[in-house]
Amino acid sequence: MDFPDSDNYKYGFSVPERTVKGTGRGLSASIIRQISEIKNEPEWMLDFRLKSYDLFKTSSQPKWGPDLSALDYDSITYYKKSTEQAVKSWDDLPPEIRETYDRIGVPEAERDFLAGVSAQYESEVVYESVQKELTKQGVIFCDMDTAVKKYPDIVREYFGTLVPPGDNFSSALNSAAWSGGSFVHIPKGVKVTLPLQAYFRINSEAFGQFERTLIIAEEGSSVHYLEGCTAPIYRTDSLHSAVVEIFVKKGARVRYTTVQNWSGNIYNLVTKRAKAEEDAVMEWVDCNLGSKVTMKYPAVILAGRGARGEMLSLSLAGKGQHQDTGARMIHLAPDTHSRIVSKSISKDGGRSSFRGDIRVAKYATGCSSSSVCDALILDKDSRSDTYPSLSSHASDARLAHEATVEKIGEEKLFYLASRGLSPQEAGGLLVNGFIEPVVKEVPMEYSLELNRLINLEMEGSVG
Amino acid sequence: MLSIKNLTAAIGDKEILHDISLDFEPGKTSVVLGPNGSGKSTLSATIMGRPDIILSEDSELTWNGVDLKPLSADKRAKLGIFLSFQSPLPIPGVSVEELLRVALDEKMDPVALHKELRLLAEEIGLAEEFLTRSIHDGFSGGERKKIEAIQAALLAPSLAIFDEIDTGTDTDAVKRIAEFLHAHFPKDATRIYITHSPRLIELIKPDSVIILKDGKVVAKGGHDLATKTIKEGFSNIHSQLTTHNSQQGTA
Repeated sequence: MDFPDSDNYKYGFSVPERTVKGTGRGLSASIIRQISEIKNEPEWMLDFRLKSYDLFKTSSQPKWGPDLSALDYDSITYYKKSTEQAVKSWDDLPPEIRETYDRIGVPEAERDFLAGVSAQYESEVVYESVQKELTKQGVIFCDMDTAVKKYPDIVREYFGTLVPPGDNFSSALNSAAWSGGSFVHIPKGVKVTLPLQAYFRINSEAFGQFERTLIIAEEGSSVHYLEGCTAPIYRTDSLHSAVVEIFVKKGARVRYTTVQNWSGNIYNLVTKRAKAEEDAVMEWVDCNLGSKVTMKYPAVILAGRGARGEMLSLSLAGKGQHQDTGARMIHLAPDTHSRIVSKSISKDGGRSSFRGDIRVAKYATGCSSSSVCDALILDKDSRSDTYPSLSSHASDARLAHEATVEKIGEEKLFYLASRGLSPQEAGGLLVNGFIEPVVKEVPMEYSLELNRLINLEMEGSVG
Repeated sequence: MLSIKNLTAAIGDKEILHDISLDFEPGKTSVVLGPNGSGKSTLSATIMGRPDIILSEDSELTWNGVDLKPLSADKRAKLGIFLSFQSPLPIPGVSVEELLRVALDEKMDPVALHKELRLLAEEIGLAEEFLTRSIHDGFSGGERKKIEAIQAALLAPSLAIFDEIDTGTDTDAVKRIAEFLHAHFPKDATRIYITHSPRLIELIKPDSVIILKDGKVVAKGGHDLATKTIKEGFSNIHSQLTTHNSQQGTA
C-alpha cells in the first residue's frame, strides 16, 4: 500500500516518513521525545508535552462515572503508522462492523478508508477546490501538526489555554501524546458557508485517537465544523482521548457537530470546551452512537454580555455500552442564555447518563437557562440516569430543567399497528420522532445515514 | 363479513365482554350504542386486535372467513380493517404525513400522497399545518377526529370502526366529517360507528343498531331503535335477547 508522498504537502498535511516505525507500547518521557522528533516540532511544544506528561503521571481517573478500570495505559501504542491503526485487510475487521457497512451501504472505496485499510480517501479533487475557496477568504483549515509549525504565534496564544493540561486526567494525557486533529482560523467578518469537515482532510491520521482541535472564530465570523462518521470506526487500541478548544469572539458564531460511532471496544474520553464572548453564539451538536464507554461533557463559558450557548445531544446506549455525557454552561456575564436538549435511548442492557452543570455567577444578571432531558428505555435491563446540577449566585436567573423517561408506549404502537405498520416500522417511526429535535439540526448527509443506522440498531428491539 | 360468535373478552383478570354474538354484513353501516362502561371501546379494540385483550377459548372472530384471533393488529389492518381511535395519543416528532408515507409505502408514491393529503384537508376543513405537525399533539377534539377521518379515506379499508368520531367536536365539524366520509369512503366498505350522537346517527343513516350494556348485547334493531334509546335512555332497556337463539329486537 502506498503512503501519501510529499506532493500532498501542498494541501497542508503532515506526512509521515516512510522509514518511521511506530513508538511501540506505553508512554514515557523518551517516547514523547520520539513523537515530537518524528513530527519535527518546535521546542515549546515538546516542553508542553513533557510538562503535561508529568501532570498525567500524578493525576487519577475520576471516582464517579463509568468503570474505567480495564483501561491499561501501558498497553496502548501512542504513535503509530496509520497502517497499523486498524486492520491490515478487510477480512480482519470484526464481522459486525463489516455487516454494518453493508447494511448502511457504504461505498467500497470509503469502506477501505474507514476501516483503516487504505491510507487515503480519493477525494483530492474535491479537497483542492474546497481549499481554494477557503484561501480566498483567508480561512485557515489544516491539521494541528502542520499548524504548530506553520502558524506558531497564533497556536501558542490559544493552545491549552481553555483546556489546560491539568484540567483532568484525560486532557493531561492528550496534551502529552496528541497527534492530528484540526486547526481552524476564521478572520474577522468572514462567514464560511460550506461546512468544514474533518473527513475532508485526506490525512492518514483521520480518526486518530489523540486528536487535538483548535478553532478560533474572530469577531463577526461564522463557521460550521463537522467531525465523525455514522459508519462504525474500528481501532485495535481501545482509547480515544481528544481535546477540542473553541474561541468564539464578539458577535461570532460557531457550530460544532460530532457524529461518533466508535467500535464497541473503545473508551471515548473527550474534553470539549468553548468560550463565547459578547453576543457570540456557540452550538454543540453531539451524536453518540458507539464506543464501550463515552465520557464527554461539552462546555460553553459564556464570558461576554449577551452570549448564547446551546447543546443538542443524542445518545444511543446498546449492549455493553455506557454513554456518560452531559453539558456545562457557565454564565459569567449578564444577559447570557443557554439551552440544552438531550435525547437518549437505552436498550439491551445499555446505560446512558446525563450530567448537567449550569452555573450563574453573582454579577451575571438577566440570565436564563433551560434543559430538557428525555430518555427512552426500551427494556427492563437498560438504564438511564440524569444528574442535573443548577446553581446560581445571581438572584434573577431563570433556570428550568425538565426530564422525562418513557418506554415505547403500547398504546402508540397499537395505534400505528392499526394503520398497518409492522412492529418494526412502528418502533422505527416512534424512535425517529423521539430524536427528531436533535437530528433535524444535523446536516442532511449525516442525518439520512443516522436515521438508517438507528433503525438498524432498533431491529429486534421492538416487537 | 365480520362475524363474532360467543365472544368473551377480558383485560387483565376483568371480564369486559360477555358472550357476544354479532354479524356485520358487507357494505352495511351499523351503530353501536351503550352507556359508559358498557364495553363499546373494548369491542372495537378487540376487533382491531389490541394485544392486552384476551379472548376466551370458544370466542370466534372471523373476517371474510379468516380467523382473526391469531393475527396481530398490523396484520388485521393489512386485511383491510381500520380503527379510528376515540382519544388518540400524541406522537411527538411524527406527522400524519410521515405515518401515512410508511403505511402506504407500496400503494402510493410520496408526491401523490403529499398532494392528496392537502386536497382532503381542505375539504374536511383542516389547516395544512396539521399535516406536518406532530400528530395529535395539542390538537383539539375536532382536529384529532378530522385527522382520523383523513387517514380512513386514504387507507381505504373494507371494514372501518369509528370509535366516537363525534366526541369533542362541534355540530358543524360532525356534519363535515360525516359528509367527508360519505364522499371519500369506499362505498362497499363495512362501517361500524360507536357513538352517542343523535346528530351523527341522523347523518349516517345506519342499516342496523346494536345496544350494548354491561358487556352484553341487549338489543338489536333499525334506525328507530336508536332514536327511541337516545330519547328514553339506557336504563329501560334490559336484555331482550335471552338465549343464543335470539329473537330480533322490536323496531
